[in-house]
Amino acid sequence: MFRAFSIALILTILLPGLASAQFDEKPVKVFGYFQVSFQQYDSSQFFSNSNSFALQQLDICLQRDLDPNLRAFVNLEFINNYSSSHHWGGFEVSEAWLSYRYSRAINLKAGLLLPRFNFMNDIKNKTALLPYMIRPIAYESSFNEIIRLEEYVPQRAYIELYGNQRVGSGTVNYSAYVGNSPNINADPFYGQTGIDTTDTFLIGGRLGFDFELISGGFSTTYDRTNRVAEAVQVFDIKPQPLREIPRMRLGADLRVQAGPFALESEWIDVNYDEDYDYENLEFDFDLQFYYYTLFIEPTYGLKLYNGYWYSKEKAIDIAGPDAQFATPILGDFALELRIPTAGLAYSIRDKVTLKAQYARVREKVELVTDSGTLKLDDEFNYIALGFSAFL
Amino acid sequence: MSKLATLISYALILLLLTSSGLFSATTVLVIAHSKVPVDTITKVDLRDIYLGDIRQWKDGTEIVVVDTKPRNKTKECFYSYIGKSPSRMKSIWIKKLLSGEGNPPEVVESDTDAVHKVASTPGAIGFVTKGTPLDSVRVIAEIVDDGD
Repeated sequence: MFRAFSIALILTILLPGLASAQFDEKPVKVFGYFQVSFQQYDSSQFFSNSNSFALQQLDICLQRDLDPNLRAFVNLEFINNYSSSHHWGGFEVSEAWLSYRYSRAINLKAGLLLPRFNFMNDIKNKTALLPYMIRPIAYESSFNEIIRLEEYVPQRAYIELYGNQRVGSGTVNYSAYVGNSPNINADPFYGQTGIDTTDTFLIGGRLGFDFELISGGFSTTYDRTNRVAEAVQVFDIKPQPLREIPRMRLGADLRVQAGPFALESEWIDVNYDEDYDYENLEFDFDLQFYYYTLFIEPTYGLKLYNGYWYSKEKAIDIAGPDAQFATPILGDFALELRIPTAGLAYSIRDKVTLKAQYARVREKVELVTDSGTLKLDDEFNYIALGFSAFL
Repeated sequence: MSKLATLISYALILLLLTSSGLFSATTVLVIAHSKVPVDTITKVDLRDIYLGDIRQWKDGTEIVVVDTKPRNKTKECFYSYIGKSPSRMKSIWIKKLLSGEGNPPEVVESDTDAVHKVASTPGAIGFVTKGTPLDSVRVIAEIVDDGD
């Protein structure tokens, strides 16, 4: 029903515009950006000193205006020295969509797109736009091995309605989107990969405002996840519990400008409905994340910043088998990251920005099981130098 | 003697401030192609145009936004008038460009180039320092920054 409604909505809005188009097509516009970095981690409990140069990210964008209101856009993304022959890094079709502008208040995008969630989600990979070498953690792809980024913010959607409307001296903007739930098949044994294996959807949106010196908004998404079921399936519990658990993300963002100073901040809370499909397992899933960054721009093109990033993840996880736990055992897992950071970004030309950043990463892990508790604390320094450039 | 030194210090500071242009007034003219269907423009419309929220004039002509490259008092004054700093505007344009949601303004090197670009481009709008020779463009707003 919902699917049929979505398709009807697209046809209603899009087709009249397509039919009236004069096909005054402009040539394909090709542009992009890349970021090169030198990163150094000092030794910690788990890692030894390391440093490395890297082509951190390269994005190539293709854009074609099919008429003044109809646009096709593709963004191809390569990360971490991508090389298929060496099996390094990754390649991803980040965006591929068609947009139709009916008015400033009504725009429609259809295709693979980055959903708007808080201030940064849809621009997190636009490294040329951001002053950071390492982004606030819920958006930092290199932290994907430490925290589950996909749990914090929606990664992709397929249909989006968005726009803005003037209100007094500012504007109010909105976005509403639909996409797949996170239950994407990655195993060919179970059929077509890359598709949602359930009949659930991701639905979400953001309501924002933008006045002269202050802007912000509220975001939310709702979907159903099999993450917990996948985590416990090793125990062969029947019937398989905790499938398609409702998950709701809530977010808020704020940006305030005062002369050369600016404050940018976000908050995200992810809630799982622990009472849903409750069988024999007690669990407590919750994610929290916030960051704030204070910028000062003493001269045009130079940004200095100081920030603090925080995330806390409560989940269930499996311990063992290892020296401490002879057989796999479920436990309450908690991970806390606290990262004070400082850095600068300096545009030496309109299209080239030099960047430097320091962060002190404090990691605290706790796994509580019936057979014992595992506690780990770690701390290390991170330094990065680099530049981003437009193509 | 110390009073004289203090007086001289104040005088020097005042001289520096006035010569730096801190208290001097800047007047910016908002110019548009001679055939645009407006005679005046409001501050809010101007901001919406420069943010890419309004993309067409009332007669359907596509708006071509022109910006000047040098960072000077005229540029500061114009963007301050519409409520965004030049660097904030730059961020907004880059975001729109990289998100596939808009094209940044066409950038020219000087006020004179801005006048030529606006005069020769149907639907164009730009801004220049008052006193720049104007040729075949329409002045649709005047922004006075008295340096306060």
